[in-house]
Amino acid sequence: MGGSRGRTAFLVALCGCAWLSLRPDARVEAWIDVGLAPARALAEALAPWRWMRLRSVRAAEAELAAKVDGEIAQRRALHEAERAAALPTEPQLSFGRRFVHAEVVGRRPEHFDQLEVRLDSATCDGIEPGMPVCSGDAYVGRVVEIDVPETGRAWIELATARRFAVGARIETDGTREEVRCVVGGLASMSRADSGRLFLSVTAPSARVLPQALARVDERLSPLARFAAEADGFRLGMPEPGGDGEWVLRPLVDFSSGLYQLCIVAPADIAREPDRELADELGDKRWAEARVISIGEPSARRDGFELALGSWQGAQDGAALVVGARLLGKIVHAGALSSDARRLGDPGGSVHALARIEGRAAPVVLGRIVSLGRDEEGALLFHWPAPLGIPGAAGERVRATLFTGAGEPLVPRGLLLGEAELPTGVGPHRVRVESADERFSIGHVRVRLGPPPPPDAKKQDPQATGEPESESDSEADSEADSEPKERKP
Amino acid sequence: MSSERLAAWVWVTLWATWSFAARGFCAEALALHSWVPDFGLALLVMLCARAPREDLPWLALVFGFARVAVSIDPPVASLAVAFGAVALARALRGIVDAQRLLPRALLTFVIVLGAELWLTLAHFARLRDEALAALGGTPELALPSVFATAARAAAATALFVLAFGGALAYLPGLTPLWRERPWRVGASSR
Repeated sequence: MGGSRGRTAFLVALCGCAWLSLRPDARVEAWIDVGLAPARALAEALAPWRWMRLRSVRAAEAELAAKVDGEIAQRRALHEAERAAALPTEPQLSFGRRFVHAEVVGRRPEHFDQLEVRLDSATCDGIEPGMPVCSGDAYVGRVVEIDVPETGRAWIELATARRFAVGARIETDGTREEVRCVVGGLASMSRADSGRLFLSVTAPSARVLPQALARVDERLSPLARFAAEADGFRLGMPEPGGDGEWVLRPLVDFSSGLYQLCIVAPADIAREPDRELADELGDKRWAEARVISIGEPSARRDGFELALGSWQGAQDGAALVVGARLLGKIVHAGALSSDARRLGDPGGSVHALARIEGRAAPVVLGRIVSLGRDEEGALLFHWPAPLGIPGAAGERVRATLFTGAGEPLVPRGLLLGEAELPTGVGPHRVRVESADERFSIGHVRVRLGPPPPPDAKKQDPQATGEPESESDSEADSEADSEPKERKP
Repeated sequence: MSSERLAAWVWVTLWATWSFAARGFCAEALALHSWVPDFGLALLVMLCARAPREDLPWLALVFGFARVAVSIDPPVASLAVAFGAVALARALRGIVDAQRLLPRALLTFVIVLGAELWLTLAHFARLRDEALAALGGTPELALPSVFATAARAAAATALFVLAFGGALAYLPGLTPLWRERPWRVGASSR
């Protein structure tokens, strides 16, 4: 370290790297990525090591290729079951209505309580802001904007949004009068990090609410244009929330468990019969990428380097797929290469759902977080299970796990593995047996982002990013662009 | 720069990349990740003990680049590890004779321990809230367990240095780094 200038530069570099390690700054790191682009060439120096394992790579790839047809058939069956489960089961909820399937794409940037969905037929014909949205028999929110951020997509505001309000009635056994109330927003006892969300409920006419199902009822509201369509959908079960407050335990996992929804429209809307959207696995937004590392030097990490960087379209959070199974995600897209984490990398997470043996409807698991691998190489996941799977205490059910929708760069229905799921409300630790061999992958398919819109300035630059904040405090700033509140 | 020294730097870059990659290769092949020595940091400490003082920042940069090329750890954290290791080795080589095996093994132990803990911290700093909450309740990722894993890696690396540390200096292509100007090496060791 010759001279004081050299020493100073060295110390600045050391302190700068140390600071950025703990306080990441995306803009600075983007410049560092450009500076580190030559590191991509260094990884090519590992070619002799890669040749050493070429045989095992080919064997593993042949084995995976042989399973692809079966996995794709599983994926199709799962999707049909998911779509069927998104429709209401109660006959009175289906009568006189038309249901338009909407698949969740992700959260609206900076608006955690709004979902971006893509509609069947890729068109919003006949859909209007204010239409109710359901998941099975459960009411989840309303359409707030259509054909945004692109044609055939819409934003849905969830019942958890701070300014959301929907009229409701709590049905009783018939001996007492039903209780009317207003439901909307999160109750103060909600805990977003554990996925335990409760809806706030206000009932001016009753201090104690009956322990019975709350259903949507907006018949008394002159402003509710789609009161008839929303009527009767389930909201949740009332519970005492402490300090005299009453809350509603929702029937769906609002934090990360909404994948396939239905927009409830009048039966006579002007809309052609719907066509199902094309399978994402078959579209053109994929790039083949070579695995260029031969193992992860960090003892606690599980991943590899890919010969595909942001300059070739790779993005943080993009899925890595072999056949129809998810291998991992890109954790950091550098300029010419990317860091990819496998499912066994601690802290990685994925939206999941389970197909349980003997049950037709898939079970939404929500976001599960990887805890690493056990001694036998099986994946361990933390599953918050705010709703859980109904069953006897201690019972376990055999299930096949797949990815759910709701992550912009991770297609739904990718195989994760087999697991025995515990029943009851969580949190649970789930052991997933995956066929992914840690040592044998040579190539993966990487999910690419959508093509840039023609007029990029009108689009939100982070439209495909994951939400950074779980707060809806920013939502108020766009109140003018959204429909007014409708309170009964 | 003479062609011999230029070739030596090319060799250093290759050995650095291979040594970091070798750890991952061995760890996955043996399924004993925390007991596999950090060959890259062992090589870096050996070079820091021998190389002229003015070469040390370049060594840090080369080893930082090499680690970034093969690891999924945050690039700035990998660079910080390389810079920190060189800074510590530079500070201590004036106090202890880092060319002898035992002091070098001890120095390597400290550096690998610090590097493992640092990389774990940097990894956690980038996790989402719910992931942190999930990992926080996991015994395998609690502080004592993290420390034990780091200590195992550090001990394995120190033992590796004791057993093979002498041979590291004779890896092909490296000796021109310190052979060319012995008087400067002697002067820069204090």
